[in-house]
Amino acid sequence: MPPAEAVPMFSPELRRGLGRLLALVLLLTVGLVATPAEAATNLVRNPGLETLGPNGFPTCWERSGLGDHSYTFGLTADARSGRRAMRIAITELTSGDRKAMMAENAQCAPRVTVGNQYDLSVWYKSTTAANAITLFRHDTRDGWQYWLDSATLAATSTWQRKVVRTPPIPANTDQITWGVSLYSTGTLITDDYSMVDANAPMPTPSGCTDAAGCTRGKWQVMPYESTVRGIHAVMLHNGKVLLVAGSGNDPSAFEAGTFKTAVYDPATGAFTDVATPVDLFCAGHVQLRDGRVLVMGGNKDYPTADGTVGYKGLKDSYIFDPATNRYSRTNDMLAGHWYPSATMLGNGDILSLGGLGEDSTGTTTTDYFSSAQQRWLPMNEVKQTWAWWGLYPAMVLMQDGRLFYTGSHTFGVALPGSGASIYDVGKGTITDVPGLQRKDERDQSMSVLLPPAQAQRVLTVGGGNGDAGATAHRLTDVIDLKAASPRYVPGPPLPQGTLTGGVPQSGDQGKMYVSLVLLPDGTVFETGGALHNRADPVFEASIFDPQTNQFRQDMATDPVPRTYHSSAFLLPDGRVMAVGDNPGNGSFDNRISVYSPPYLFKGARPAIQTLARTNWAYGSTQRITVDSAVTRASLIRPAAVTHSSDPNQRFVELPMTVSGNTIDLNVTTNPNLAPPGWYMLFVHNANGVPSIAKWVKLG
Amino acid sequence: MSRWFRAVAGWVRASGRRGQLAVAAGLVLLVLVVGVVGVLVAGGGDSDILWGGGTSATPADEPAEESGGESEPGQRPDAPDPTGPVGAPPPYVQPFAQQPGAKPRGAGPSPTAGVEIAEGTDGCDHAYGDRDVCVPWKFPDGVTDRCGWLRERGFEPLKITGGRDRHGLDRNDDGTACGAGD
Ligand SMILES: [Cu+2]
Repeated sequence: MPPAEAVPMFSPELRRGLGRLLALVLLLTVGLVATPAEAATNLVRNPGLETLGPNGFPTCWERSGLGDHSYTFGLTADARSGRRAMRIAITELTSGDRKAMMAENAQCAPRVTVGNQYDLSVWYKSTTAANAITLFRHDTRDGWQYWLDSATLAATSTWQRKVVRTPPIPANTDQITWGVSLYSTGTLITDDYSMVDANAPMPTPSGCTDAAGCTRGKWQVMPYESTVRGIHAVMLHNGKVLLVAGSGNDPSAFEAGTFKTAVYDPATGAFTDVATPVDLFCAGHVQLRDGRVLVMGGNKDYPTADGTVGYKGLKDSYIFDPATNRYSRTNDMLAGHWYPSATMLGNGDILSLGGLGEDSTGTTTTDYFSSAQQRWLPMNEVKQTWAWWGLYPAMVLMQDGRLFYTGSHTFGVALPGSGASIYDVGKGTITDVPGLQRKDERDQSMSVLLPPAQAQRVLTVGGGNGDAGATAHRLTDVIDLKAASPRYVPGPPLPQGTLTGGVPQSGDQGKMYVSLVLLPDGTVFETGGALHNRADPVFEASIFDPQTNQFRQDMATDPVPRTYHSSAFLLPDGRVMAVGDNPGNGSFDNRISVYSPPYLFKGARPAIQTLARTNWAYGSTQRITVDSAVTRASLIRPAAVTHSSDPNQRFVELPMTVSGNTIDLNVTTNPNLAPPGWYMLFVHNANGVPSIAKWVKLG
Repeated sequence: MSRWFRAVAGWVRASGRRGQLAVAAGLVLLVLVVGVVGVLVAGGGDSDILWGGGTSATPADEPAEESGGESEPGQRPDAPDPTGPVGAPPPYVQPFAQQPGAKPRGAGPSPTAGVEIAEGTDGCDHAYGDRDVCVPWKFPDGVTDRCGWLRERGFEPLKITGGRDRHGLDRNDDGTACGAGD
């Protein structure tokens, strides 16, 4: 007897159909139970990389990467779920990265809503810590472009998940793509990507506590005056302000050897005199990585009345220590510098250029302070270009360690060429950058690296030409240093204000001696200035928004004129302080003004309640807790400003990994984006209302 | 189907925490029963049962890996150190602003002296008054009454200290610019 054929309980078709039905019920049920509140939609197409296109590569994904390295790039069966994961291995690397990116096209790239935030999540394994979640954004005008690297993925041999929240989606952005970049030798496997709307709180119009304040902000003039001429201002990490005058542009003080410095406590209004060894009038200054202040150069002598000899520069250098309120002398620089630049490099070293030397000629010697050796290096250890950089040349550190000379300077005409350039310190080469408008009228304009530093954009505002008696203009220029061939493009005109007596500005009138201050909500406060060389203060203030590239005009104006030898800078409580004014008649205004921006009149401030660490490493994740929902976190470098020049000023985005009120902050791996030192850590809520800063030390 | 799902989800959301818990508990039970039956019924069936409609390609069909790179091992001593599992991540630097086609300037010749700076570089003619005073090296365009312009801006009469009067501010030649007789 033939063996009885096993009779299936159901036909195969029925079996399959029933199975599908039951499975579907199961899926729906699980979905219902797991997410009773929100059915979050994964915006990533083909998130598990399971669907392949005709080329055998996952649909909606593409191979990406640049640079000089050996690599393999493909799918692996070592998947976290399903049957496929992405595997990239770099076996040898000189430069660049490899990454699987979501395809940059209308169908595949996740669509986003301006202002919303999205939680990005990826599962991964990696043999190296050199993995970054890299974001690109589609600008509706300018097309696809790099946005930022939002997080670093630690090495792991087991599947780990990394979640990071995007900053609010910038204006003019309709799609983003992202992926994980491998930028060292090693093997990276990724799988199960997701991107969901974080449903972060959106701005609410409520909460205005003062109608005038919340549209224009408010100024307060302190009821006391500074005890020293506030020509140089440095925001110290103990919350106090270092005000340096030296002789303060007063030749009789110079003759008498009366050189002044004070430490000012904004909380109490107290001024502490600091013994000042030499005339630090018009010196350079920068905060070292330990929070002490390196001061270089200054005034060796005033010019002769007959004009045969000009100002002379010192080659002395001192370090001011906030812990002791004392200056201590370093070795001398190679050359004298009156009006030198001072820019910190990614390794904490300081580069100082330009200014006038000991014989009142222009100094072409590059001076280099080694952080490790705590001294100015001798001639044979400094790569010299012998280039003339002018006075207070604004040198902004770029993300690759080169310097961008913005064209902003003090006194006279521009440098030969286009008036702006990229200076490769290591190679000793200089390459012009085109596009700066009226380059010979940028005397005491101001430049700033726009928030966030990751965007690598610089704004240059206004300026004049004191030598030529020029009327200051209202031109602005913006440059995107992410471009292959960066060039300045015209920005919106500087808003106009009023002159003495309330006369409105007209025509092309703008200002020199302008101050730009980065605010913790990611905007730029613009204040102070004058129409002419040490004359005709302009009463005008505005807020530049880097997202829209527009000025919000008609902010409240400082009642005190702020022209030559004036500065404005951010306080750790989110207010802006302004000091100094030295008009042509030789007087000096010692009043101190404080501006409360509109965000301080828009309801309760979020607070950073706990901070796990104050010493932060590059590429680390730092945990904080907050008392209410926040949308953004940043590090702002405290000011060291004079003569509309603070090239180290920067706002560094800290992408967040959010779990309720516990937030992990993803710190950049790149010290050129955030040179080592003390920073003010801010968070702000959806209305742009910032916390008071906590101080953290990076690097 | 999705409308039905949304309706149920909406009802669950609206039913308050206790209701949600009860529903959740019931659903978990249901899931277990349905799941077990489903697996039994489907057992031995197609592997795409849960993910029907997807690709039928298997890992065996993987495309050939892309690979690249041309540099020879060991020839680049300046290459950054690879970072192992315990290392801190190296800096991630982007290849921006390479300025293709632009010509960089190298170092100039070592100078024998500093750059000559013309007088008036701070915008002031220091021949007038004390050296903290700044009579403009060049007055703004359109200023005809220079002494009036200075007076309006708080300048006192100025002793001529530099032995010259470029702007003609001492018309009576008494050694004081913009004095009583000027
Ligand atoms: Cu000065």
